[in-house]
Amino acid sequence: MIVIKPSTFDKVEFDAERIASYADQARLLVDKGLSDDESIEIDVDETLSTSRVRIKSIEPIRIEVESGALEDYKFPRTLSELDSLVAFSRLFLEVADRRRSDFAAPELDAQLGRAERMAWDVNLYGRVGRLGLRVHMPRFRYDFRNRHGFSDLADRTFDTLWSDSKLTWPEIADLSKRAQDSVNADHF
Amino acid sequence: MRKNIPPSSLARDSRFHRRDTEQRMSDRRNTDVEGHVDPEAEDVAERARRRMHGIFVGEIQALEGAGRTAFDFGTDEVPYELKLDMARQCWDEARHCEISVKLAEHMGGELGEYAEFTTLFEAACHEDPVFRLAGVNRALEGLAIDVFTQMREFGEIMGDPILAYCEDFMLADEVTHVRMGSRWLREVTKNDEQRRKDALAFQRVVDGLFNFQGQRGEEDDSPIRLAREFRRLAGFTDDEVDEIAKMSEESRSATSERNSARHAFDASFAGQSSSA
Repeated sequence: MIVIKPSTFDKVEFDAERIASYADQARLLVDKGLSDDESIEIDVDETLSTSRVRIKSIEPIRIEVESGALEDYKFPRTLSELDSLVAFSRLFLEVADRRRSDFAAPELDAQLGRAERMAWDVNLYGRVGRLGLRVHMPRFRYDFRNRHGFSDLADRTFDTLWSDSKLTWPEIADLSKRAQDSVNADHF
Repeated sequence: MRKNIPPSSLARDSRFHRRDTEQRMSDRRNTDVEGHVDPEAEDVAERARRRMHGIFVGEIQALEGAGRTAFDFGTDEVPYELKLDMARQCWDEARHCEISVKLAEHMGGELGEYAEFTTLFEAACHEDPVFRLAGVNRALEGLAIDVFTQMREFGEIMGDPILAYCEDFMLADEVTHVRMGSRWLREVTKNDEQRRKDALAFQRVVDGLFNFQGQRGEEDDSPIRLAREFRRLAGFTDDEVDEIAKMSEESRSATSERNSARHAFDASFAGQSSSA
């Protein structure tokens, strides 16, 4: 059961049924860690054009997305199938990570540092790409560099995070910390 | 060759999707968050990438606008030296296009990833060349000074030397473009006070449009900060900069309630969200 809130949109040309359909496709793509009769609630904030996403609850699944996360930037305010699939797949992979005891995820309400949050994102989006969805890797490399420095070590760390599907949260956090430590900058 | 072409006639390949200013303004979402390249924001890289694409298409249109101004008017309408300055500006803008393409790639962007808004070229379509100088060279190239200064600072803060240096090089050219506008606006209208006043009024309209509902200002949290020092170098008087700041402040006040809601929302997301 997938519920989209709101059910109709005023500021964007989104269709709740299509969003639910994309979320269901993403659930099937992710597969592991999610059940067939999963209860999923998706809150879409159509008042903001930015693209942030977050998980509000694991059991049942409740997620919040800003309209830009589902939008086709080339055709503003319209729904993008690919970007919706990518956003939902990334969120469901995080849900699956959080449900695995061996992943050892931080608490849902933990205030993660920007760099370690980014490191986890890189790992999640790398895995989204291996599900068969198109993700533009250079985009995530740039995002990662902004939080871990524009350096060879940061790039090597990125490559590990992007390509390894079996990392645990402590390993991700450690990789992030080591890359940050190598940068003599206190602004991250 | 046809003169005075409309924005819809600009040549683009299939990667680009064009939107005019009316379509741009019809977006009733809160878009000032995406325009704020705030290093503290979790999704700042996405915001910077979006802005970089906006700069890139702006450079294309600035090239087209300067080229059109050099071509659309004869020497019976404008001095030959003005046309030469427009040709020099084309040279600069073409270089900026190349730099912007490289920067967009460096930032993980793809050409045509975002819609292209034609607002800049629309300002370059006025039938009076003096209005074009006021609207493009003074208002919009002035905006470019603000934006490039901020992007340069962003590159410095994030430790990205490529972004910081490239923005610095382009910033130097923008100062020259504004000075060209100031010079020719003054010289061409030296015997026509009313025409100068009308052109400056047009410049204020363009400036007002590009305050983006109060996004420009001198406060640290302004999505686009007025670069007073570089504007001064470019020939803006303090009164002119004060006026832009005042216009923006008035727009900002009108939307302050919305901004309060935005800050509360940002705070609720801190540490828990990602950019999709």
